[in-house]
Amino acid sequence: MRQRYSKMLVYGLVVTAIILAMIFAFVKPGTG
Amino acid sequence: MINKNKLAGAFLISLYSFLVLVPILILLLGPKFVGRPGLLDLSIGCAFVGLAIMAMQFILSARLKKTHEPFGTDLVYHFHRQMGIAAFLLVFSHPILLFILDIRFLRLLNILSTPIRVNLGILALLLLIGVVWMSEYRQKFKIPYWFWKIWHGIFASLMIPLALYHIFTGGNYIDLPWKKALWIIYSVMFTIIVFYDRVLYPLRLIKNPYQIKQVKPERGSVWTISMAPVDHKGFQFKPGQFAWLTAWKTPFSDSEHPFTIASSADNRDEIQMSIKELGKFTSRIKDLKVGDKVFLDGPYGYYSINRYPQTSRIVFIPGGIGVTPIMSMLRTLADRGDKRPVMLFYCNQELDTLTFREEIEDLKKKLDLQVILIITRPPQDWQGEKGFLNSTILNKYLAPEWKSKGTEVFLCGPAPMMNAVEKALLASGFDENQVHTERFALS
Repeated sequence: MRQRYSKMLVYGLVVTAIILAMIFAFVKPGTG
Repeated sequence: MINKNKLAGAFLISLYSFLVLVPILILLLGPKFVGRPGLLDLSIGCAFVGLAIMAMQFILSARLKKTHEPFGTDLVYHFHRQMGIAAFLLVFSHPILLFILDIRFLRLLNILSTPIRVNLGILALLLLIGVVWMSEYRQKFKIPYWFWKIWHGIFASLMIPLALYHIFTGGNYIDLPWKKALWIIYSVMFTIIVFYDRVLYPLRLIKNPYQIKQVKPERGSVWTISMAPVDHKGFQFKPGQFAWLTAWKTPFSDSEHPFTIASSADNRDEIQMSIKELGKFTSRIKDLKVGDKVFLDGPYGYYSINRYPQTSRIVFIPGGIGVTPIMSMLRTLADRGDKRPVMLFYCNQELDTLTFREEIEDLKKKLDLQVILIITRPPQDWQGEKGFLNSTILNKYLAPEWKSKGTEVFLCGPAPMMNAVEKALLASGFDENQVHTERFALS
């Protein structure tokens, strides 16, 4: 059970990082 | 009242998440690179987070007791392993996205013509692949624990400076002073942690050695070593916790092995570890002599009855040598004159190799202890339980009140056994919060 929480944290961090990286990459002034 | 451990855990998770995500947050806060391809920015963003995770891996694996306490060392290492894979995927996506953006980036792979900063970046990535591959396939390819441990440390320690050099010398993603400052802070943090873990900590262990007082054979190819602190107070541990043992070498050799402390937590004068002959190191334990100097680093671990002082009933389920933390808890309960009812389901392949068989019988006199032995290959005249522990056996011995909230279950054994018993416990009506495990696959 504890390992499940650890896995959730890993996925949460990776997904957040990728979303933030995509915002950085694709949401720019003049791109709408 | 808010549990102090939960509060510390929440703080550490928040701090960790922040430190991992801060490189990308800083990119977001800084000026946007208008006109630059999105895929290029995405590849940089992924690599930055990947490197931050890699730097944080040193904190997760360092011997910082406070960071392990709220979660348990087994979970911290499990998380370390998973984050290692996450770091690898993020860092690996950096060149892949560049190749997708423009196939001409493949030219950078020509080591003779490519700039040194790119070569060092590629080397860092290769080292990361080595670290992850060795860790994931260590058991499959039977890579010895000591070999893996040494090269894991060397590869990991080398790749961080290489990757930092790659970042510091490349492009304008860190051109602003405050962006540079972030990576300087990561570099300093990395250096301090490595220095603490590899130099200061071993020095402290050397100053506080232990001496072997007894080496005793037990049933099931197990050897119990008793150790006493030499001119120092030793350490206070909770029953069920473990320590890292270094024998025949100094703590600088980075060749310590984790073993559960099997003795009573109320006896600070002597620490016992019961070690089964399973590998190269464990098979040499019997060669230790009275008077030999060893080093102990501990205590670590989350797995202990001390964490549940309010519980009314205790169920212990050891499998094979997983009995050692259970013995520590049983011995401690006996020393404390604990009156709570205890049920012990002890699973083992054979009756003859059941470690501590006689002592467990003796403990029945001191504790309100019921013992159920589950033997996979029992002798012909065996009247007890046979095969594997399942919900039928659990239901046969555990009355409904045993499954209520006042019971805590401690399970420890080989991974397949723990997986099966965990399912059987849930099927028998236990709540998953009542079942406590510690999972190690290190030595």
